[in-house]
Amino acid sequence: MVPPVQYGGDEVSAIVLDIGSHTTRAGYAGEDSPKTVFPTTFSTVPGSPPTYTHGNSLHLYRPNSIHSNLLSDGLVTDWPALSRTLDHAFRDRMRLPDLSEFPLLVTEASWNTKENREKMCEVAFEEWKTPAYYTVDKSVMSSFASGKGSALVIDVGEEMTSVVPIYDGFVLRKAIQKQPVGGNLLSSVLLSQLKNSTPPIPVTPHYLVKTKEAVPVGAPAKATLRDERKFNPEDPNCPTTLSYHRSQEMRVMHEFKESTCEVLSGGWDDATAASTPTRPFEFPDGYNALFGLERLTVPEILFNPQRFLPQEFTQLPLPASTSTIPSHPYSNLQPITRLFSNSLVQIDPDLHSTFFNNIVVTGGTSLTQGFVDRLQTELAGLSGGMKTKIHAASSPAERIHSSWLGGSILASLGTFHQLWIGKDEYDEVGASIVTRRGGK
Amino acid sequence: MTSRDVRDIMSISEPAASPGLGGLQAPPPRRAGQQREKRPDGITRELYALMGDNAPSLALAQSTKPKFKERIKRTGPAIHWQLSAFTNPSRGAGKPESDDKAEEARKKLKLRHWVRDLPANHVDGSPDTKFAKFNTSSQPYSYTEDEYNKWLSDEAWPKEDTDHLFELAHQYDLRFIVMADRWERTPERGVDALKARYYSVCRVLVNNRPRPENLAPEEKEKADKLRQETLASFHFDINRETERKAYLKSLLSRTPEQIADEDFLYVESRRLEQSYNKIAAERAELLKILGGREGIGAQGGMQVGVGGGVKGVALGQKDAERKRKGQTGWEIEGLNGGGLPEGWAGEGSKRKATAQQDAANCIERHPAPSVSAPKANIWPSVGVRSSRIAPVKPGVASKVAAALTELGITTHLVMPTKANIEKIDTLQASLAQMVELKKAVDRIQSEIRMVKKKKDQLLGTEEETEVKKEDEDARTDREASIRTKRSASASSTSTNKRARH
Repeated sequence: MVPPVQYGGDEVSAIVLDIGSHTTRAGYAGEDSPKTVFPTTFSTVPGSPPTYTHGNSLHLYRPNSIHSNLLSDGLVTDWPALSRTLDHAFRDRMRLPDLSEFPLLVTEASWNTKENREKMCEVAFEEWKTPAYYTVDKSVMSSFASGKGSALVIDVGEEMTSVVPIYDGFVLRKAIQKQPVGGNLLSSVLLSQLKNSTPPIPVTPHYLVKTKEAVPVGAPAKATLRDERKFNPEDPNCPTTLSYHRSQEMRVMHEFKESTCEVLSGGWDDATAASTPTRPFEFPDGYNALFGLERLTVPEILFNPQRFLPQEFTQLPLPASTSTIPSHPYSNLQPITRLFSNSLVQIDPDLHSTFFNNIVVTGGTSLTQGFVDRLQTELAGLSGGMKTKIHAASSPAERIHSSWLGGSILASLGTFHQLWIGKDEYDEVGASIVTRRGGK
Repeated sequence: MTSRDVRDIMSISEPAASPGLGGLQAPPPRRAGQQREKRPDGITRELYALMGDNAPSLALAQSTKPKFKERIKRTGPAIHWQLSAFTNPSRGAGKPESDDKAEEARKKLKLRHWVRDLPANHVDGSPDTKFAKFNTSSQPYSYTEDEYNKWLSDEAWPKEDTDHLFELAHQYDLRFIVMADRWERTPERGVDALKARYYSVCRVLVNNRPRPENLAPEEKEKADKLRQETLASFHFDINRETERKAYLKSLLSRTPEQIADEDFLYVESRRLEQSYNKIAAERAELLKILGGREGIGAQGGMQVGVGGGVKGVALGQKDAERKRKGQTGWEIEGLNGGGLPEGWAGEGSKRKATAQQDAANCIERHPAPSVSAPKANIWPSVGVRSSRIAPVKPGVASKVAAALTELGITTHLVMPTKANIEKIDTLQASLAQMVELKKAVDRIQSEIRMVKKKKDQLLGTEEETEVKKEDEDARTDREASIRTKRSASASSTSTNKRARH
């Protein structure tokens, strides 16, 4: 007889917080999507006191505003900004004055440091008065969201690509592979390629365009620009900062990338690339054209950085990081399949077939058209005859928010509640309790 | 609005006032008490009135009122959901107080959830044991300082390392993969090294820990058995594991080309095996034909009685088996294939017939049916001799019959003496053999021709094949005649050729 399915849920109105390098998500555990989603980047207008803007309105034009990110290498570096982010998420968006009735589950990168983890715990108990707190790994949450206890998580996000093996819910730290290749790098490369093409294609961000007119394909744009906002790096009194201008240019490039870029699912081949149809794109100033080769070469960086990453990008410095788990430098970026095999080398051979059968693909950049098919083709060549199975959520929201979703599932399970760190425990032991507990 | 109103609006006269019938046929006055046809449900009064006196020609599909979704009928009082705080037994709630303050603080956490129909005597903050059954623990071994000093010191494993190992074992519930990943000391130790040390420590502990004293003897035995079982479960051979993993690694690191190669070799070897089996089967078949009645490989000196044939061989083998088992074969079968057991002379008779007497009386004895035959028919009934002529195989029967007719011999003998019957039987058998051999030769020759053609196509240019073609027929004939003589070997070589192509 089949035993009846046991409902393992036990809602304690926990809140799940997931801060990614591009988006921050917060919401109630047990729900299938976060209550609030907003960019992690924030804007600062200098002054005394300075004005900070978090959330979706940061793209609004504010003279002298500076855009910055509170994460670097996936770890929190700007703690005051983190506090303001939490404030925005909980007070402004979720309308909770504090978390005194809500246990808080926070996700963190697999390579988080002890200090960072303890600091976050402190913020949760001291500033937010949460009755219980716990920190979980993002990759583990992604694998839980796909219903797997053991999996190899390939996360291609905004800032990084990481390959993290997970065994029975534990990260195998020695086999983590990561490198700073992600949506951000692809957009930067696109931007530089468009600017350096002949003739150069001007990328005018939304904030500069006052009005625009429809123009035929390839014709120069007919738009009135807001000259008072014009970005001029030479002028120290220019009201537009480099960081704002750059961030707005990147927004256009993200859109360009999302609407045109495609990965050749059968592997790179010059003939196929040349015969793949072009796609149109209209820039904010009305200029529109058909794009062919660049929409294929740029995402190819993920699979073959040695060939497709332009020379000037190989000299970039790595993002500052306090983590002990190193990234591959820009000068020696690895193809995604190499990251995979590098990771497998570190793992006991008995587990290889498990991992080949449970590959979880997540992260926004993995939504690039053809990405999963291509990965499947390339990994099948590595598998040595083993069955290769990729689990990638088909809905974009699930792919982007998979770590939040896993947290939402975990925090609503009745069996999870023994792991919470209670307020009393924190008071008794201090912030070091998060590292002392064996959960991680 | 009624039908009358509509008629009025559209200026249609009353049906009664139709021309020709006017005045003659006034509408029959409605009788008092006459029921108008009932308006079906679901049609508004106005719509029904429009239809006038015309009854619908088809019954309306829906005679009942359209129904709304049924309301949930709740009997009894409303379910009462209540927000209640609970402690978790998995955090130690409900256990006796301990001195460890952290432990005590851990017990205190109260989470709140909604519960339906809480009992009246429920205390807020009491342990909720609903999920306690999912808690598992593998309870790894641990050792004391004394035990370590006495039995467990190992040069390769300093005490700190061993301590760290057991700490990890507790923390990660013996997940050696995770333990190896979290190993923080130098030298770096792999999964197998950790397993080997852990299990060796466990074995030593199980072996040396004294058995609880004052046990009953049978309990002692039980304890010993348990100890042996535990020891066996802690067996771990690091060399074997490393070797196995090395093999596994090399298996996993094959390139796609290597895998394709191996697959090809496997398929090829399977094919060779199959073609070998086929050749062997064909050869056996040929040998059988060549052997004729007696078959090749039948025991020498076998007496094959009339009508024995291949069956006779089998029978003879059975006989041999029986003799090996120490039975005489007397009980059921007569000697020398006699129809009646020797010495048998009727029910209840004591007289024993001898071979000489039989010869003198012209008595032929035939084998009795096998043991499995029903008791009532143990002895063969009397029959005509011609019925004992072995039937010819149906496949060649027609050709054998044709050959016989050609020779002018009929199987219906005028004088079916024993000798005659034997002769005709031998003749039939040889004819059958001949026909079968002819078939085999034909088949093999055609095969040879096909293979040659193929070979020429593959090897030779067109001129060459033409040159060859000239003498091909002659050579084929010559070869065929040679091959007929030793067809067994010919068939094997030809099939070999086929296999190669």
